[in-house]
Amino acid sequence: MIWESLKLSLLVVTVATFIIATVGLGLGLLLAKGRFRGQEVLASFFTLPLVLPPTVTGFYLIVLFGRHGLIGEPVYNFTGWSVVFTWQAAVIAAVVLALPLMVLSARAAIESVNPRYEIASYTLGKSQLATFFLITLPLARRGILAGIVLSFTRALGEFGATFMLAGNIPGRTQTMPLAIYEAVISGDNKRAQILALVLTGISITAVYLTNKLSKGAIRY
Amino acid sequence: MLDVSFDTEDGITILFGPSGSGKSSTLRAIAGIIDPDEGRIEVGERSYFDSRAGINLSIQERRVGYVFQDYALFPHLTAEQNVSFGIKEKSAQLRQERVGELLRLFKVDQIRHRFPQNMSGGEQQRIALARALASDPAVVLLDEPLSAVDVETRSGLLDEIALAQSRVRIPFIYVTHNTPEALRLGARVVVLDQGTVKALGRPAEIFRNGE
Amino acid sequence: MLVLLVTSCRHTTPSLTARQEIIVSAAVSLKDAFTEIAALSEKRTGMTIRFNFGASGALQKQIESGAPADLFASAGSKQMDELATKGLIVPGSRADFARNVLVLVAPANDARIRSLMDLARSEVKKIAIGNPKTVPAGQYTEQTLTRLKLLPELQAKLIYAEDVRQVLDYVVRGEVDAGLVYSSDAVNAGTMVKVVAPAPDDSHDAIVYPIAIVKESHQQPAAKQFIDLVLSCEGQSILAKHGFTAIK
Repeated sequence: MIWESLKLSLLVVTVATFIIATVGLGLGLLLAKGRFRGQEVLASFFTLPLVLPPTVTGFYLIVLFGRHGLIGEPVYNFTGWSVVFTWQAAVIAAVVLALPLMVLSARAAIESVNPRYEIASYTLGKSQLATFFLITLPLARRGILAGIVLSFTRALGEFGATFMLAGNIPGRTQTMPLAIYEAVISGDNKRAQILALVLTGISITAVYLTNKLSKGAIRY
Repeated sequence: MLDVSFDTEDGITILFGPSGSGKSSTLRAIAGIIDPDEGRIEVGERSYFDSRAGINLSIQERRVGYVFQDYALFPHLTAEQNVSFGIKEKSAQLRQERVGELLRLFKVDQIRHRFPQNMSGGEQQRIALARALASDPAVVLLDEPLSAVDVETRSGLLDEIALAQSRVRIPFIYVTHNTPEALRLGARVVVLDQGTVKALGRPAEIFRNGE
Repeated sequence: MLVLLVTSCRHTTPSLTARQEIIVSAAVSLKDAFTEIAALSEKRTGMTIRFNFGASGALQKQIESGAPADLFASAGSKQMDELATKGLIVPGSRADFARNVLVLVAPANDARIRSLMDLARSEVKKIAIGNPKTVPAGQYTEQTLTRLKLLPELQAKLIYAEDVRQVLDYVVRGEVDAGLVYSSDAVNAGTMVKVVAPAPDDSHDAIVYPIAIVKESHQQPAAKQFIDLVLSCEGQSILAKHGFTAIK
């Protein structure tokens, strides 16, 4: 079962990180550049999963997505499908819990780019979108990469909310953290240790690779 | 509070005055970085801003070249890449030619692969001017471009700026509080103080009457 | 050591329910026993049994929110009672399938403690128990200590753990002098701890494990088969093997 949970974790985390990186970057940009009413309320809302205990967030998620939930019920009535106890639910949990880290990092990174450069780009005829990709993003690269790593490792270790929404079903939703929990509780220390080592190994590799990537970025 | 009104001709127009007199703000308004409450900004035949007609072109639409006080060269791009940034030419070959032209004009061809942090102040200034000209602007705005340069290099740079302008024949609007610069460069001087125009005319006249 | 009676069981032949799948939400403490019972079931029928092991309270919340579990096996009556009140289980399908015994454990080579009353002695400095607020085993422990009139004396020595695993861990490492856990947990820990004595039967509420079919299950006949297997002679001896006490 060790490899099952490893495969599942990698699947869930890859999909989740992809979603987090894109959505988180967009939200970070919105919060960094936006000047609209209720902006900080929106920011606080997205930071909520960071301060609530994951189990509580998980509880809200299952209330929302469960068969009788605000979102879950219409989906179930329309398609006969419920996300609870599926690997997609694990993705949802990972995204909700790790997204705040990405949004915070991306926002800070984008805000740290001197607006002077962006204005220079506008005077040279580049649109706001082009400027974002040609100037802002490369200059904010380190902070954004840090955000991606942070949220990746957070998603990898996600447990409480994942359990509530996706369940702890070996081969289907039992990610590595859940497998470790189960092994520890049922006294299987050897398995717990192996899983923990693998999980640690992946996290360290991810952080190491990202540091190497960041080295390429010039210090400004 | 700013209440400025002037028109320029070809050549270099100096916006002159002490700090806080509103010179840089005027420049920013022309570029579209800030918006005046009311008034009109026209460059050539184009109306950039007209509060009564409700016209307000975006920075991108205005086609102004801007040389910032600290140059604002893109730190992650080489000299060459900085200059070619604003070139609208699609063909790679034509782009290369244009970039080469400008780099040679400002005598910075040898440092084309260098990054801004490895350039001297004078070199950065030339690259910044080349970059501004590359986008084929209708007017070039320079915000105290020599303030970060040491005194010895300044003289040479002044000549280069004057030469560049005469070659490209695009109006320059040049902000400074430095009298010798104004005298050397200006075809016309607009004196600003506390947000209003105090005097307007040829440099010799203006400075002869003291200030 | 508790004496386990292993009797031979008559082999029951259930009806074949090919290619069906049921999801069983069960308390984590049941993992080893249930996994073995499931293996038995899968050999006999074509049915696939997927487990969802977790804390009884969280499993209950999942079912309340409509999670698609077919069966619920809890480590205490409280969670099942609440589901029953909300009409979420099939009435009549509920059955108690195992009991447990609360036992006092101590580190394997420690001979000082011989009974529950020994806990009051001054050499005993720390005793680990499950947190009565959140761990069922902790609640039963509190009841026992109260009934034996030991609680006031021992209160200062009590170390609360968030799950039984932690209690055992503390005992094994010698961080505490003794602990109170279920006999099923003690069996799990093997030779690293020794069971000193069981708590008297009447000193706490009956520790029962109920199982029931979830009302919204689409696999009720298959679910019933699993319950039958758990309650059967074979199922009960598997549970006994893992330290649970069979339902008489």
